[in-house]
Amino acid sequence: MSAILEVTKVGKRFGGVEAVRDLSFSVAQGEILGMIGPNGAGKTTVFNLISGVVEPTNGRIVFDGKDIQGKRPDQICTAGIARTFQTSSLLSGMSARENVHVASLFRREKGGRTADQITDQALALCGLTGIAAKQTDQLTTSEQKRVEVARAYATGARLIMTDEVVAGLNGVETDQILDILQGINREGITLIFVEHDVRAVMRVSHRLVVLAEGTLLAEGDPQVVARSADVIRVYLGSRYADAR
Amino acid sequence: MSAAIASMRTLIENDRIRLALLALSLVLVALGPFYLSAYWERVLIFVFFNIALASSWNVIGGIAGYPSFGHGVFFGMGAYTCAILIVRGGVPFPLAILGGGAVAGAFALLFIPLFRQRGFYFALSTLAAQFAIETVVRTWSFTRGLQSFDQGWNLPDLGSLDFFYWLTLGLLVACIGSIILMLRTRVGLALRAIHKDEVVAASVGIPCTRYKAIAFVFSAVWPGVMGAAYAPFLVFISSDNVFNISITLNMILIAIFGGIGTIIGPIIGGLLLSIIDRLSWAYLLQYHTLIYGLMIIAVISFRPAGIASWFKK
Amino acid sequence: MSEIIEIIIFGTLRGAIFALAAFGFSLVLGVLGIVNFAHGVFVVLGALITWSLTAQIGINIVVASLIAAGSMGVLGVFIQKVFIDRVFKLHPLMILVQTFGVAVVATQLAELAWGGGERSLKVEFPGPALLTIGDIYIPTWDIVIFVISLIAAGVLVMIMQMTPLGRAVRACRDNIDSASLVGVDVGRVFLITMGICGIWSGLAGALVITLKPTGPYMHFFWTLDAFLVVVIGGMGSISGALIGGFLYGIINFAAYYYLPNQAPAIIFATLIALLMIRPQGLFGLGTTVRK
Repeated sequence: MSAILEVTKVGKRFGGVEAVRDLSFSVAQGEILGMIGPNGAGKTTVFNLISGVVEPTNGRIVFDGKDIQGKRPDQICTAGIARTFQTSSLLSGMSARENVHVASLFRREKGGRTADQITDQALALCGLTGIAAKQTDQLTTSEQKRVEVARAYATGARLIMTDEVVAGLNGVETDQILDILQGINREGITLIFVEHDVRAVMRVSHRLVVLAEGTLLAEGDPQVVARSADVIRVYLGSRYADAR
Repeated sequence: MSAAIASMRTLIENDRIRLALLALSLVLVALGPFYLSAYWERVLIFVFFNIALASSWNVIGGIAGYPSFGHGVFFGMGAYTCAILIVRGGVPFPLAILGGGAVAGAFALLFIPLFRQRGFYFALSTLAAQFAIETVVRTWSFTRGLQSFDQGWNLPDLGSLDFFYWLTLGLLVACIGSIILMLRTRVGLALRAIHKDEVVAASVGIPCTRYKAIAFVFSAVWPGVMGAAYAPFLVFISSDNVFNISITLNMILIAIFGGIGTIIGPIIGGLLLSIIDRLSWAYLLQYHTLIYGLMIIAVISFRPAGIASWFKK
Repeated sequence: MSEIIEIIIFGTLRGAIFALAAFGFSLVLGVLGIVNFAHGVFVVLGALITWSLTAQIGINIVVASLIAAGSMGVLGVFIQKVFIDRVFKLHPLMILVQTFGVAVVATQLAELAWGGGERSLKVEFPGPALLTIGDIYIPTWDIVIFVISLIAAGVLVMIMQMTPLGRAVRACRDNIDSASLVGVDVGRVFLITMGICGIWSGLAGALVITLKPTGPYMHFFWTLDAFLVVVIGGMGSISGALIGGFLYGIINFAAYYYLPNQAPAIIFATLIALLMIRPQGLFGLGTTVRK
């Protein structure tokens, strides 16, 4: 399969801190790429770099054959990359539907549908039709997360990046949102899935990358990567890795 | 009793009845010159100006969340453009009004780089721009600044008090109508999203700078138009009375007093503040400004959502 | 050449007062993250109270200045407790407008008390009235005020560096969330910060009135000047405000010297340019208010 996103030797400094250094990885068209790493490994910074919220200090990011580093977030969204945010980023004072509708309204390729149709479809896909009129501050955590996914989906993105979308959810809610993400993936949309919950990552990912201290630690088949000594060391400490 | 209030509320919430009430009050106001004294006619003209200015400011300051502290500049520019066009060029009044709006709008484009700032810094940058521009107008010979014999512009008599009453009322209705129409398009949703969270707004594909620019130019054009209508109404204008910082501050105060970010807020704020202003001017001259200041503090400290929020609950 | 030297000397001397009036503003911006539009009120009221105590009651000017500064400290605490604290969590615009309202009310009350005009205070100073450096004459009093401003800055730096109070204030300036996590009473620090702001700005006022006539209506200019100083020097740091004050004093003096009519335009255009290029200030700590 061809790569839809290629990140090449990307680095980002904040003052004296190197949040990401020399990071290279690629995402194949249609796959679900799991991304794990301990706190401060730079996962969210990677999302911010790809989505244009922060500009890389060096390196290249190529999406669908075009350089996107240094582009504005809205241009990158229009190019076909959408994301969710770690902390709820729903726009307060608006209903769930309006939150999704913003994305549909500003979508370029509507494929012959109206913005309203796109919004309704995205809400239905994420099981939100019944609560579309609720204000964002009345939504449960699970509903908020699904609105975020629906909004990313409504942008018409071909690559969606989710940032800790199951954090704080119970088992049933986690299953529900993972099912939704797999359904989205079956439509041919590529996913990058950042998560703390390793079990959830293992369940849906086709491939896994592990970040530590802003750089790539391991990459490959989820089952194989998760068993590698390096990965266990950064997650659980060296004692566990040696004990095996 | 409570049933009566409830039925009243449904009555008001019914769109048709609302529209009918609105139309009725508009007609009543429009017929003003037939039953109002010249004094109250003048008061209402000032009310119309105030509401239009505050409503325009509200688009960028209240709805998009960029508190411009330099908006009075656009009013002054409209007034000066109109005066210069009429006195120097003999341009007809309606064209001069359009000219005022156009110059203010074009000038607003120069403010776009300031949108890299937010909050206090944006407020300060626009405030500094106001002072810088005011100084230029005050000292530039083209705008008749710094000439001891003629600091400002005298305009010919262009119409009666009734004429200006209807003119400003018409412009006010057009101004508010255009704001309502604009907010119904996707611009409205974009501006609300930008106000809440710009990173998120951009991440769903909203070109933030473009929409902020649209909002800013829009909210500058109307003060320009109103300024152009104001110049011949006032007959004599100078940098003191049309570029004064108090014009900017009044726009902000009225919008906040009534209810920032809402359509009705600036209308309520403009009516109440102007009337309180007049009354305290008439009866408590010495304490007039003091009362004004106390009211601002009171509303913001105890009712930050503005007077309009009283009517909602 | 000597002209430029003169501008630098007089600009720096004047800048010390600007710096003194801006310390509190800078602290408040750094710690509370707000712009207080009533800031200039501390300066003009400090000046007018000093005038009343000295010229009307006949109290020694040193004591009068200290009383004036102290009462401005109380006013700062009052404004914080009664007004700003209420709307602190709202949009920063609300605080701007609210403190503007406070400024309007305070100015009106001051005009009722002192009238709308300006007052000035002549200080009898032992020793020569002028000092000469080469062929430049400098009023001795200007130098005295310059030195007092530097001492006031030094005292403030010492409070900030050496006392537990200063440490708490600095902790809040650097990161308010972690400060409250380690047990700093943020609300109290805010009160103290506003109090310090009032005292130092009030002292600036007490010095100002010995230099030039001061009236209630001038508060807005002092607020703007303080903002300019902080934009140049960077917020939150005393040394930044001091350097900012000197630079602003020189820019200000030069602008009025060469182009008196266009001076405000030049000063404000400089301000906008600075805000565009380096919003954290030329010597700032690298943090900016992002609300």
